[in-house]
Amino acid sequence: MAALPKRIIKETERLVSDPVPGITATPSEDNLRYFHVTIEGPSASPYAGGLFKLELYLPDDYPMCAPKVRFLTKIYHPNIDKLGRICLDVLKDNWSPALQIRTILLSIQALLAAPNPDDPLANDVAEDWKKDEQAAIKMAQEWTAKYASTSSQ
Amino acid sequence: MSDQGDDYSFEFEDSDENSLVDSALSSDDRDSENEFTGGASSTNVRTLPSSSNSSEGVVIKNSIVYKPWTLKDFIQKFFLDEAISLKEMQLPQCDIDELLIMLHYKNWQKEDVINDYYDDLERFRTRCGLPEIQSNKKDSGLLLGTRFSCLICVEDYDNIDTYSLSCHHRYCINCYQKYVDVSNRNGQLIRCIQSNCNLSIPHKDVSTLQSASNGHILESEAKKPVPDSSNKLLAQAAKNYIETHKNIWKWCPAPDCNFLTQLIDRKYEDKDKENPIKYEKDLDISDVPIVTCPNNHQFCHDCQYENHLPCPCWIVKLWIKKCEDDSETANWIQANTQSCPKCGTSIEKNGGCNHMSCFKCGFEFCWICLSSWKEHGSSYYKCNRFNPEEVEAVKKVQQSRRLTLQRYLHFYKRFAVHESSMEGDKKMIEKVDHKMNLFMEEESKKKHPDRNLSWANIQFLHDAIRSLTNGRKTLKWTYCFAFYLAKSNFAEIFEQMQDYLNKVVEDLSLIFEELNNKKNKNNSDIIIKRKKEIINLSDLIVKRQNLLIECAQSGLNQGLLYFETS
Repeated sequence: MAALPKRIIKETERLVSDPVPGITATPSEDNLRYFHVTIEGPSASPYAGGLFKLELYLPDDYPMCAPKVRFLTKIYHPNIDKLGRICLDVLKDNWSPALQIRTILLSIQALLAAPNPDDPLANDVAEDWKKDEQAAIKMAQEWTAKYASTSSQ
Repeated sequence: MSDQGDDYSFEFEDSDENSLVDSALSSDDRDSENEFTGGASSTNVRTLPSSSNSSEGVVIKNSIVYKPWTLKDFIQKFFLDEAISLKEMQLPQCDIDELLIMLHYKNWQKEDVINDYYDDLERFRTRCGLPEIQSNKKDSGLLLGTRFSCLICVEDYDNIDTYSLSCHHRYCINCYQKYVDVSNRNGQLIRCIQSNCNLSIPHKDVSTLQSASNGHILESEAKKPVPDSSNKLLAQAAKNYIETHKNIWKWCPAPDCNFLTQLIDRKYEDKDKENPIKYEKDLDISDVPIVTCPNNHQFCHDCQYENHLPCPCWIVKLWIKKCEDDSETANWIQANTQSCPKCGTSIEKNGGCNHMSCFKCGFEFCWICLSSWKEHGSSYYKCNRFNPEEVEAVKKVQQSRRLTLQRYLHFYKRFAVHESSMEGDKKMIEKVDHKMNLFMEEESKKKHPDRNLSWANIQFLHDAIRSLTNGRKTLKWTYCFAFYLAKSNFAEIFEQMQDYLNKVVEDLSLIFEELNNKKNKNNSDIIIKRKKEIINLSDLIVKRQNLLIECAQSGLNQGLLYFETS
């Protein structure tokens, strides 16, 4: 494997030395482009109290291409599908090389705080969300307790 | 002798052209006005402006008018010339780079650019990613060889070129080069690297940035005043454009051929809108849009398949599907096996008695009547207590399936043989060509050449090769045609003509094979000697090919030939 670009080394250093509150990202030992990520559910959201595991991979073209991010913990969210794939503009068309791993993770945290059922990835979840938001939020809380509670992990 | 041959070969060229035009005229005459057929509609797609103004290079053949292009000519004509004409006529206040960005944003529709420009200039400029008119362009663009710390790659450089747009988001040339390379894949305008900065990088700068290596741009590239037709962003945009205007623009489907053709006009256009069913099963093959690219590849502009005359496009589709499908495998299974009456497994009987036991479920049954063997008791082969008509019917179905399969295989085999022969011809021809080239070189080295030979004298070979390949192609498709053809007296005449063409094609192929025989050391001499024969045969191929297609055409038009496709 080619030498790790300085940009990735710098970003990793900063993620470790100056972590974002509520977010951890640790590079895998055998592949420094692969990160184990955890995000705490934002306090005022149905995901509060949950700790969500994600994986993040920096492709060869990084930072010209967006990192690939996926939820590993099951989550009930209109913009995240069964496989954990995330519908987020900065991960797709609006990616810019000037963005970083930390900004992307912050955007994902913000997505948990503000689900957007009008631009859904998981159609069934989005429909529930639009039909009966209270019930959907309750469901999201249940899933959080069931799959993402810190005590169960 | 050789002079005569040359004249002849020119005549052959001419007569070929004439016969095409003649047949076009005669078919025009023959078709009465209410014969409205063919033609994929293109009315709801806007054509590129001024596409038919220039008549240069336009080909009119049978019912269609088309023009072959190279990608570079395309870019020059439809992108660069459009920007120049905007600059000269409607929007002289803008510069070429800005006009190209506007045109690119508006999908190269000049009218749309002018409309939006006068509708709301500020909004239009923002959407295109152009800076505000008053913006300060100072300190933007390329900066050569400075000390710089880049925030993208987080490297500190002592001496590197950098680039920014008028937004002053400046990054190093290495990052910009990678960014532009990655972004160019989708053919859209490339914006500033900074997130949420919408400014577009001019086309000219894109190629400058792409020229960078080791931290410095290629100065010759930077000095170009306007982008040229080799610009990669324009090339990608052109490919996108062609992809989204498929009924007018087609790439030549031949491998490694980079020409494209533009359909300018065709007879009977959009007359089938009210009658799509008729178009689906169109029997008029005079308007199949066969075009020829400058590399002499013939193809159908509708289905982008090779020249498939005498078959209409829909028959070609059926045939290809049939050949690709494994439906024929299913047919084979049905024709050659029986299913176990209990578990349904397919069983092929390759010998032995009629007392079968299924290898899967172990059920014992009689191969003849397919009922349980128990009921046969000890008296073997007494199936007559079952309804014999039923057995007869089953057999009949099986037999007819077997016949259908055999019929398909018969035509498919011939179709495939000609296809593979075409490949073989190609290889053989390359060898002959190579040998002739060697021979001609030797000949030109001789101080006193004993014959007056020039390169022009062996041009006939290329013509012959072309007509051989085209003849085979037509022949190949006649087998697809014949497979779907219903039986009739006229079909027999068609088959007769198919035979004639087959014969001349094989004759010419044989001559080439002899020339290529390793035992013949003086094959170059033989080529010269047999020149007249070769020319005659290739001429004959063209004539018989045209006759065959005409025969199919008139037969279909008059209802003497028809297809059975159930």
